[in-house]
Amino acid sequence: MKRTLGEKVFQYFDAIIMLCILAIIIFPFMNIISLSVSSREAILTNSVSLWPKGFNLAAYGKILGSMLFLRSLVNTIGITVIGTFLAVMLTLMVSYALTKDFLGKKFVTYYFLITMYFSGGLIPTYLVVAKYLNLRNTYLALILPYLISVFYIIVMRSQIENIPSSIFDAAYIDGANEYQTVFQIVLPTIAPTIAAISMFFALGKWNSWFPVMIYTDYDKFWTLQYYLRIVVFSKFLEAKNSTELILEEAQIPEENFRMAAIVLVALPIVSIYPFVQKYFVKGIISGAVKG
Amino acid sequence: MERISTNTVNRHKSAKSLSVKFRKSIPIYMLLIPAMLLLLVFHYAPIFGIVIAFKNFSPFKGVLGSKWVGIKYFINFLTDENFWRVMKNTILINFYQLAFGFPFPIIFALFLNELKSNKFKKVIQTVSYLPHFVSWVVVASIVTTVLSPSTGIINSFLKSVFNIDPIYFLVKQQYFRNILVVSSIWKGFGMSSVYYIASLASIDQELYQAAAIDGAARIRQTWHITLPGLRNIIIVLLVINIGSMITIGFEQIYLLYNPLVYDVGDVISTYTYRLGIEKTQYSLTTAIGITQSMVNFILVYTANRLSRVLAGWSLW
Repeated sequence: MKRTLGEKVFQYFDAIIMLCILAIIIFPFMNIISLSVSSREAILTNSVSLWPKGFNLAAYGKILGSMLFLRSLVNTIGITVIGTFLAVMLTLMVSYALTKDFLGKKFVTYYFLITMYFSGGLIPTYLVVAKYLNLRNTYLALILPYLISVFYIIVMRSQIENIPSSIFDAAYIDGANEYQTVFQIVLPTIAPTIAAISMFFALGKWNSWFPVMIYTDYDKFWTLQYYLRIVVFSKFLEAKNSTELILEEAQIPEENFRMAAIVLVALPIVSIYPFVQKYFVKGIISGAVKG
Repeated sequence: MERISTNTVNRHKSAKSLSVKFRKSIPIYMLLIPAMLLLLVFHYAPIFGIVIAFKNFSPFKGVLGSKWVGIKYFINFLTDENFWRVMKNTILINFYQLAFGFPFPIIFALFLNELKSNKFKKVIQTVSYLPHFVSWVVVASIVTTVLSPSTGIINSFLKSVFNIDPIYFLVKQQYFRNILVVSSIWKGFGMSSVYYIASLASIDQELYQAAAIDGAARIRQTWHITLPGLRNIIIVLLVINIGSMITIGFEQIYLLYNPLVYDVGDVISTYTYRLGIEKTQYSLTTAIGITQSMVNFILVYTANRLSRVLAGWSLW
């Protein structure tokens, strides 16, 4: 098809708009990276914007050498791995069970669905976890309340319903019990869905910090996001028992330190996301279709 | 006599089949019990815990030991002008975010779709997802840095191009809501656009060829083919967004706001947090939470009904 002059002009115009959008996303990141590696003089004279001036990695060294950062990193990895594993297993078990016929199915289905529309809200939940179960200052408070997502149960259930019944019949003839069916037949068959839902859970858990803020008092429970929140938003007063963060070394400007913290906390996700984004896109689209 | 005996037999039989069914269901229950227990403790117990909104709750006396006070706390907050201030902010901020944030991904998807180079398209798309993947803490840190009066690129740009003195954006009431709207769009537009990009890809290409043969210009094709093709997904997403209007926004606002902008930026969730967790006014904030859930339920329900009527799609 021949392209008219108007269409050619539009192509250029379109490309320029897209480049502007690219810049709007990338420039803030460049600003932060530049500030994190620029020299002390450049920072103190406010002369850094998009490109670094001078070179200075002292802030990175300081953060990577600090126990508080490493502890936060280990906590984040631990909570993400354990939380995601448990959440996915529970989702799989429930989703499979809800595709079967059993006594009380209607009640159980509603039992799960209702939680999508009603909740006790922040304060009653906080009181149950912190005052009644006494889970304050435990890792359990950061993991257990966040394991069930009925939305993913619905998505996974519809995937299991799509498995041809001949597969289940074969398993039944081979004498497989329900647990073997779930973990040896269903799990591998819907592996792509399991992978996608694991990633959704993992991203949510990796990025969470609110439970740390409300359920814990000591920095040994910090996660990376919470660490960053304390560093950047300087709410040192709220950070009980944290002595390590105070920047007694005057040679590192606070700005360097904060920016390096942003870079280090964002880095794992930023370097992984290009490889996993397609699962998220697929998951989001199929979630919208399946509802 | 005969009838009675068949009845008993039937009842006996159904009781027996019930118990058989129960026994057969046990392995299924085992799969369900862990998740149901977790929901019981962390979801249903708090739902029953909302009775403290009607009591003068103190953690030392417990739920049962605290005195009933009726709807005292509901009257308390409904007559408190601070509550109406945060209510107004909640509605306004969510409304602005919807009004400006909702069309943006659609426009982005349309422009992206018109690009001829697939490679360029892929790059733009991938980069546009980036802010979705980083946490609100990271995004709020970026916003604070970029808007900083000393080191931020916005102020250095304003200084070098328009020679404007540094502006303290985050403590100025007139900018705060704009910052919330823009940072939400920045974080979310890429990911939100995937719905539209997927729908655009599924529009029958023959329609465009037929229109081109009929002499319809590109812009008319967009109006008559592309937008109608997106109609349903637009309705569905709009409905979902309206349904979640009142619940979103805690992390973003909590991280970015400060007492100087409470007047325009404090919303129900941040207000509840400060009053409930920081100032331990458990009964009052639970009463606010109940009201919020009720409004939310009405929104979700209405939105769902609307979607069923308009797009033939609903959550349940």
